[in-house]
Amino acid sequence: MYIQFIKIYFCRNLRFLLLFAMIVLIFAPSCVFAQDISLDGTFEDWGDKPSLDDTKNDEMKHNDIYIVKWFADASSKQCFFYIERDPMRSKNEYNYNHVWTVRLFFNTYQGQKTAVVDYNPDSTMVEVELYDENDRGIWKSKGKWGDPKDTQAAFEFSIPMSELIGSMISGYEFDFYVMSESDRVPDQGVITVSTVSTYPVITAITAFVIAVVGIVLFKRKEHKW
Amino acid sequence: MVVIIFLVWIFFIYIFNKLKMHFFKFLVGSVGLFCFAVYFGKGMLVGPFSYLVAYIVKLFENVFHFYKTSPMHSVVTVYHKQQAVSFIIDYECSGYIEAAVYSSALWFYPIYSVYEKAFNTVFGLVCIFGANVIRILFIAILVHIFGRNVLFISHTILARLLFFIIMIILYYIVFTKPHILRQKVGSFRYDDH
Repeated sequence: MYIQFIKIYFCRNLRFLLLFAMIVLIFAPSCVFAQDISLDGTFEDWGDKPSLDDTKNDEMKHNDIYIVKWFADASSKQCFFYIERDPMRSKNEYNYNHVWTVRLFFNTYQGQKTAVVDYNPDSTMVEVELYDENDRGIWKSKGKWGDPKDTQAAFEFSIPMSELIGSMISGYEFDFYVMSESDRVPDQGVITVSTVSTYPVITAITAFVIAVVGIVLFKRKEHKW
Repeated sequence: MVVIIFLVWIFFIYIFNKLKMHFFKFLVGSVGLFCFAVYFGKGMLVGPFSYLVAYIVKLFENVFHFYKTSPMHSVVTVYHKQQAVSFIIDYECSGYIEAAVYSSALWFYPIYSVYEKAFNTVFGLVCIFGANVIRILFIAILVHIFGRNVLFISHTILARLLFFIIMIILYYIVFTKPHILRQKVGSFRYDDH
C-alpha cells in the first residue's frame, strides 16, 4: 500500500521533481560566472560584495570614510577590501594629494592584527603591511590599486586569509574595523566575517547511526518485504 | 588510485549482494558512496549547493529588509545598528555533506524500490535545503535583533539544534517510519491499515 502510495505520489509530483531539477540545472552553472575581484583600480567587480556605509560628513572631508567593502574569497584564499572616502572635488584640495593612511584592526583566532594601508592618490599606489599583536611586520604588499579617476576617492587591496586567520578549511570567524586619522567604520562595534557551519560531522554520524539501527532492526525481524 | 578504490568498492558490494549480506552491503555501499560523493562533489557540487541556499535566502530579502545576499558569492550580510555581520556559506555551511550522507544511506537502504528512492532523494534534498535556509534565516534574525554578541550562541547552539531536529525528523520519516509501517506481526501489518 505504501509503495503504491509512493508511486502514485511520485508520478503526481513529477512536475515538482522536474521543477527541482530545473532549478538546480539553471542555477548551478550561474556560480561559474561569479565575478571575482581583480586588483586593478577599477571597482565594477565590487558591486555585489558585502559593504557598510558610514555616516557622511562626520569627519574632516579627506578623512571621511564613506564605504567599506570586504570579501573573503575562498577560491583565491584572499580577503579583499575596498575603502572609499569623500571624493576630491578639485586638484587644489591640499589634503587629498597627500598619502592617506588607513588602519584595519583585526581580531582573529590567531590574535589581534593590524593592517596599515598607505594610499598615494597621485601614483594610485597602495601599500599594505600587516602587523601581529607584537607589532612585528608579518606580511606586506603593494600595487597600483587606487582610483585613477580625478576623484581619487577609493582604493582596493587584499590580504591572504592564511595571514589573517590561518586555514580556511574548517570554518573561521574574525572581526575588524577601519580607522582613518579621525574616522572609524563602523562608528561603534565591529564588522564580522564568519562561516556558519552546520557542523555536518555530528549530524552525519547521528544520521548514519539511525540508518544502521533501522537496518539492524530490519534484519533481526527477518521480514521479507 | 581512486579508480582502484572504486573497483574494490564495486567488488565488495557485488560480493555482499551475492551472499545476501544486506547489512554489510549497506555499510560498505553507503560509506563508499558518501566518500566518493565528497571526493568528487566537493569541487563540482558545493558551489551550486551554496549558491542555491544563498539564492533562496535572497528571496526572503523582500520580507526581511535587514540583510543583503550575494548569491554569486554565497554571502549573507546582516545589519544590526551600525554593525555588519557577513556569513559565508561555504563547504560546511552548504548542507552538501548532509545531502551526501542522506543520499548515500538512502540508495543502499534495503527497504525502498528505485522509484521510492528517487522520490525520497528529491524529498530529502528539498528538506535539507529548506532546513539550511531556515537555519540561516534564524541566525540572521537573531543577529539583527540582538547584535553580533549572539552570533556564537545562535550559530553554535540554537541554529545547530534547530537544523539537527529537522534532520532527525527527516531521518525518522524516511528511515524509521517505513520500517514500522512494513513490520509484520503475524498477518498484521500497519501498512495495510
